[in-house]
Amino acid sequence: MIQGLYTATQGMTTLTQKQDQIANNLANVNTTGFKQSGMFTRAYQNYLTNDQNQVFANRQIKADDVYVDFREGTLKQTDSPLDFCIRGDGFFKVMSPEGVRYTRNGRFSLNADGLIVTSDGSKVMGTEGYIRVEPDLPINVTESGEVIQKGESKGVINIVDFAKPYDMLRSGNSQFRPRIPGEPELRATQFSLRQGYIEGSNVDMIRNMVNMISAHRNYEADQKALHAQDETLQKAVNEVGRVG
Amino acid sequence: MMRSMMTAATGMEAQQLYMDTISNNLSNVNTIGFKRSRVEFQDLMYQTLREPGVRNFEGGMAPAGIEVGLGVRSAGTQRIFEQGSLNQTDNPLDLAIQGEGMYQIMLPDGSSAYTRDGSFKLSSDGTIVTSSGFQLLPQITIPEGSQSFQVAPDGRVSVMMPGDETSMEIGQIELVRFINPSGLKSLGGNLYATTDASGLPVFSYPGEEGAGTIIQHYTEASNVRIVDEMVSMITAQRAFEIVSKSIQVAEEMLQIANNLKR
Repeated sequence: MIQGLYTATQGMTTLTQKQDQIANNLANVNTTGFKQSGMFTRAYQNYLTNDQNQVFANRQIKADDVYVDFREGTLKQTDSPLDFCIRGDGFFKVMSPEGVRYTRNGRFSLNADGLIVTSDGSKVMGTEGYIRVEPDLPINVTESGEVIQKGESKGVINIVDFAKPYDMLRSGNSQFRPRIPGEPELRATQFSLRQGYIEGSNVDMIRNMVNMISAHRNYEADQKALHAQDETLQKAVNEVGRVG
Repeated sequence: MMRSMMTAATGMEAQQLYMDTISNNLSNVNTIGFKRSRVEFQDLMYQTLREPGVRNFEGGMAPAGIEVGLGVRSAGTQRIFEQGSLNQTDNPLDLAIQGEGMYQIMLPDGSSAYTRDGSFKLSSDGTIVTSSGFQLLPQITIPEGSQSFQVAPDGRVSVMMPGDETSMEIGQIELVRFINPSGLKSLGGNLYATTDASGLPVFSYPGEEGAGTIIQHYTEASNVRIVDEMVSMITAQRAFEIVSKSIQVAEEMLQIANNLKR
């Protein structure tokens, strides 16, 4: 009897986590290069036997895994020469104060040393070191990431990929890091770089709204289930168990 | 549950800042030399509820952890120094810059500021000043009684004195550039100041590489694009609305939780 209360509570906790995640997706609906995340839930079954050796199952639902949805976001034209969008697979490799990070947010600018940096100051890495440009010359970037000024190559923006991009961890600032430190990078091939465009957030508003409503209603149902069990318990304690 | 309310609140704050920036851009749609700004958002830190790789409750290895994001933050506002369109005014003291340079201005406290607003005036002692009365550097003084006033694309200022056959050169306007103009600090009044992020000013004469040329009798209009701003406004409004819905749902779920104990 008490076990049923815990099962319902566990459901409510999981739905709370789901709602937290939806709130984060929706809060980032305008964040450049943001990828929405989803949650897998899993039913755990505990097989218990009673004293007659009859098996009965007890099911609980738990949050099992969080995944990042790497579908491509919408393409937005900005005309800024230092805005980039990766069509296809891959990440920009950047050097943040905490070390190497990967991002899909291609909104770059120049720092005081003439290096290409992200909006939080992390340096964008090329295939051979950082990319230093002349601030007063027009910057052209080819589809493969080569930065060209006045016909002269200034370096190639390093676009890297991983075997399992969906398995990466987020570290805030629209950046990702591999789950296993030191996981080998692959050279991305299935991509083309667009200059003057950025990738919008891929948050699917309608799906998130629907998930939110269903989390809300399921939460309500769990609460009802909890109540019903509480009332049964009340009967058991106060009526069946009445002494005298 | 409180977590998702706070997360959604960061979203509402971010959209509000977005809207603030759009409003400022739209308010300055007719400001001479105004450069529009844009807000840059990034997702906030992630809270790890379960470390990846720990044993799960059936004894197996959990393949992944559970991380929950805590919302969004604004990483900064960036000014877009794109060329604005040129408006003909026929006023000889209106000097637009076509290119990247900026005028250097001396503030009353002696420090320097930089501007793209080239609608200059003459002060009572004949020096070229901005609309707010700040000196253009290097200082250029128009001799009293001069009849016409010309500024060449390379910044050379010449005047014609009464009775003279040829014009007389009285100085040259200098322009400054910055490695990272987006790093400049806005002082209001169309003025900018240097910061560590912008780098030091690079002086050059108009017409030299990258500095841009001076076009007399024109002012530079603001580079705000109304259609773009309106679309951003709609985006900001809808995003604000959808995040507020998620606060509402979180609130209702809290209410349900409260009703557990009747």
